[in-house]
Amino acid sequence: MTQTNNTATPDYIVDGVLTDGEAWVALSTVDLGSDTATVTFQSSTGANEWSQYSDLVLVSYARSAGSASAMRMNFNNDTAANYGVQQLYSNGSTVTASESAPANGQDYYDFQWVATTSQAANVWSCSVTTLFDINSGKAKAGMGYIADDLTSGGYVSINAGCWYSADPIEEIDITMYGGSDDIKSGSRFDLFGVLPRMVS
Amino acid sequence: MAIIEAIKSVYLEADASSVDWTSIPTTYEHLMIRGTATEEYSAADRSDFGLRFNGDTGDNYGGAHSINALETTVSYTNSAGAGTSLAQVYINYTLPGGKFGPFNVGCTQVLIPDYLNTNKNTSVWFGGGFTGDGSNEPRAANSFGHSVWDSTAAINQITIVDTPWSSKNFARGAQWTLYGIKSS
Repeated sequence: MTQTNNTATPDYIVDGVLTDGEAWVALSTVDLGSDTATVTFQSSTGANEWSQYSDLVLVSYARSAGSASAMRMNFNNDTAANYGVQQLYSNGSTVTASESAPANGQDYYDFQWVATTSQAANVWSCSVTTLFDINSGKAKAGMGYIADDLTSGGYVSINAGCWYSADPIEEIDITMYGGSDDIKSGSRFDLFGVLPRMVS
Repeated sequence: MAIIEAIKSVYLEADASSVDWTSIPTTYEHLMIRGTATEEYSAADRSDFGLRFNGDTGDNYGGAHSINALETTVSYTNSAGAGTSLAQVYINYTLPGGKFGPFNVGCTQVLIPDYLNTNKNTSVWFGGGFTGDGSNEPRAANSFGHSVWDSTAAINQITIVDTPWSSKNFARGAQWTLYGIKSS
């Protein structure tokens, strides 16, 4: 696994003075060189210090190394039943709405459905997931968009989720549902930080 | 050169019925709004908010939305024609009412492309939603859609209004940021 973190001094600090520059900052990139059980993003220093951001955006292009098709997140190593997701999805012929579990009743944020070993080898799945207001004292709301061009029919989805915690998000762990399968080698994850207005 | 810049951020320190951004710069190609909010609303219900442009409170807005709430899907058009029946762009089903408790927050993204073009009506794309706390019904919803403002005027003002039909307030703690997106 290759992971590159941006720990440079934030661009909005110019000679010690706050300015308003690029609002979207590339924080970290992960390229999997082998099948991997867990991808972890952590706040660290410089531009990768997450307390300065309003939102986080994760762009994912991934595939399962096994039969599990749901990819999930946990925040700050919280694996208790503090998550919920509402989704609307289509397989190309029908549209379905669902609450993936009773809200606040599951122990992960299932943010992406991905191709499995039953799909053709060149089928991968992409998603864009936003985590909002990650440093507030509120619950952490998120939303995402997913697109899979699966062998046996496509899959598209919009979802809204929540982590019921007032804590700031300082770590994201990505695993396959159930924990028994790996994330496929070649999967890529890019994490961005979104700044608010810095100068009034 | 920065491609995406934060133009204005607002954090509500008290309940408020609206947020007004004026004198929006003309130095970008597109606008984006991102934020989280809860409605100060005593009933257990999902709710909406709206956008108005340049202070226009006339019936000059419309759109088509797709909504899902728990296991129910709804798709509908909330205008009789292109921008002729509503007094605001509706951002449907993206706010939880206050009865859900302080841990319930709705999130929304809005994209307003080509906001300075005076040859086209203004189009708006949005997506958003929330999940409830599991103990109150209804619990969760999300939606996405498109709306139109029946005007070719360049946008210089955006007003975010809470459920105009019910005169409710955004709860303290709501936050939004307006971003400008440049071209190369």
